[in-house]
Amino acid sequence: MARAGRRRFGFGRSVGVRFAAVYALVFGLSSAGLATFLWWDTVGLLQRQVESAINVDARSLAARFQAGGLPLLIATINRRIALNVDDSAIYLVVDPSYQPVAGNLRGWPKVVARLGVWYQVPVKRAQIVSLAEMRGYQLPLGFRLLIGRDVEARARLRALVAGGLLWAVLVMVVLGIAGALAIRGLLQRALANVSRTANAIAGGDLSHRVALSGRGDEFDLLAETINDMLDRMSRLMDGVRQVSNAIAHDLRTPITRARARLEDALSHAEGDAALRAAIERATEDLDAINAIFQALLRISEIEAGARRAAFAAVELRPLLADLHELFTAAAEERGLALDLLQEDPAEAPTLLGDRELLQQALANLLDNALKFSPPGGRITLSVRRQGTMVEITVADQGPGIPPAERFRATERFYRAESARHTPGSGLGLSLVQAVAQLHGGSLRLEDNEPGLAATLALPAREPRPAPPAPLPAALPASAA
Amino acid sequence: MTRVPLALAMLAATLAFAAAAGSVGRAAGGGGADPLAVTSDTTHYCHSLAAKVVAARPPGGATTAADALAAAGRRLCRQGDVLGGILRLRHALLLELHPADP
Ligand SMILES: Nc1ncnc2c1ncn2[C@@H]1O[C@H](COP(=O)(O)OP(=O)(O)O)[C@@H](O)[C@H]1O
Ligand SMILES: [Mg+2]
Repeated sequence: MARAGRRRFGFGRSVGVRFAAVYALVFGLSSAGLATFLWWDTVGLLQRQVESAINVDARSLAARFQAGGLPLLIATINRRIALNVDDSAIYLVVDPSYQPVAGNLRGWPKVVARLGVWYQVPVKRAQIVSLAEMRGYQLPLGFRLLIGRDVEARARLRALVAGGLLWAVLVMVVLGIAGALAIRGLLQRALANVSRTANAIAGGDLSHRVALSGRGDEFDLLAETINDMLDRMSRLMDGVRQVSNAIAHDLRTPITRARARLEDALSHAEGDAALRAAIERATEDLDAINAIFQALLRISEIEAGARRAAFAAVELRPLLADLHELFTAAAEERGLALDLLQEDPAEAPTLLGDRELLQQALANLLDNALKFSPPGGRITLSVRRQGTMVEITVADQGPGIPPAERFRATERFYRAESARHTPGSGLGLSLVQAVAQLHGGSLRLEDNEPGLAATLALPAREPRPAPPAPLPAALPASAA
Repeated sequence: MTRVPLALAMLAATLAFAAAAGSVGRAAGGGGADPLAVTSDTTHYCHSLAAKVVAARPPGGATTAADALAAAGRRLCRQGDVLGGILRLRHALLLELHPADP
């Protein structure tokens, strides 16, 4: 099925053929228009001239008949025939019983059955046959008048023009088909390139790219766009592969551990209490695995961007104060100092974002700082405006992350070798990064000499021109 | 596959065009019938035309050109070249009737 469908692409259903058909149609129509005009302007013009001359002649003869009766009409016609130097005129007047009265025809021609209609009739002069255009007119008293003109010259011209146009139309048909084929070929060549790549990729060769012609035309632009898309797709797929590898690898350890504990308890536990303790520990291990899954799902959810719909104005000052308060106790417990620095506490920056996510991201940074700092260290949480961005930095004096490792630190499950013995699963910085990107910002990891300075740069909500807040009348002044 | 009907359509258009070109004269009559005989090509007409030329001769005498044409016309008619004779006689008559503007 699919094969057959693909085969047909080349012929019946190709865009190239449709383009070609449109081209041929437009070409044919304009050619037909030109031919019509040519015809109208040559043969048609001559014919109109003859017909109007005959009509004028008929009117003047009718006027003669009115003025001088039959004798004057006959005299006029005889005179016209006598003076007809180019020998092209045909006149005939018949009485009500069709008996010829004047003119140069023997009798009323049978073919001229109706008056007021143009006829083309062959006539013979001195053995030479030619074509004449004629028309019958009604005269008073039942007389009838026939006037004609030789149009042999016109007939020859018409044959000539018709022949010429016929040839021209044939040539146009050929040119139209040739042009249509050329267009089709052009399009097909250009598209075959793309389709080859698509086929290769469909067949599993993800490294295939669309070849550029180097002309920089629209097809090259298309090819570049497709190649960019393919690059991005393969990067994303690498990412997915890496994450799933990491998940498989990192979850195996706790699962194996839980299993080993349960097995151990099964074979060695003595008494209910030991068994119960083993089961409890295994449950904790499984809870940890569950937590990892939840964290992964949460990061994916943030990366998907669905939460952007729920963005609201977030005041940073109370947020940071809360975090400071929350972590101060834990810091003191580990012999660390936690400082909150605000450049200008009066002008509290405001962001557009998700308060809960921002809080969690900063908590992750603070948690790392606490976790990796040696006792006696100092941790600072600071905020400042940098152009249109607000930068929140958590700086510690711990071991830091070596520069070569920093770009990997935000990958899922990354943990430095030295972090082996601290609790954690390597998802904290991934979440911070996802939150930063969700808000249109970024996470920077820098050297604090010594230690790590993790900076969350987020776009600030333009500060409103702060109105001089009037004190609510109901509140006592001291409450403000 | 699409090209065949396309070519056929263009061919049909060509033929239709040719047919239309051939039948522009609307009521073409007398396809097989004998051609109409014109009576102004006979020796008899030639002689009557010669008589007209004589009758139309102005009192002061015609131009020499008109006379010469008339004579040639009469001679041709006698010799059997009726169309040639009629042509010259008509010219002569024209010269006699409209001497200023032959
Ligand atoms: N403040 C820091 N000082 C030193 N190393 C850090 C710091 N923050 C993060 N790291 C390194 O980056 C790794 C990843 O951090 P994170 O994603 O938060 O995972 P976790 O905290 O679960 O280890 C840590 O394991 C550690 O090696
Ligand atoms: Mg962490």
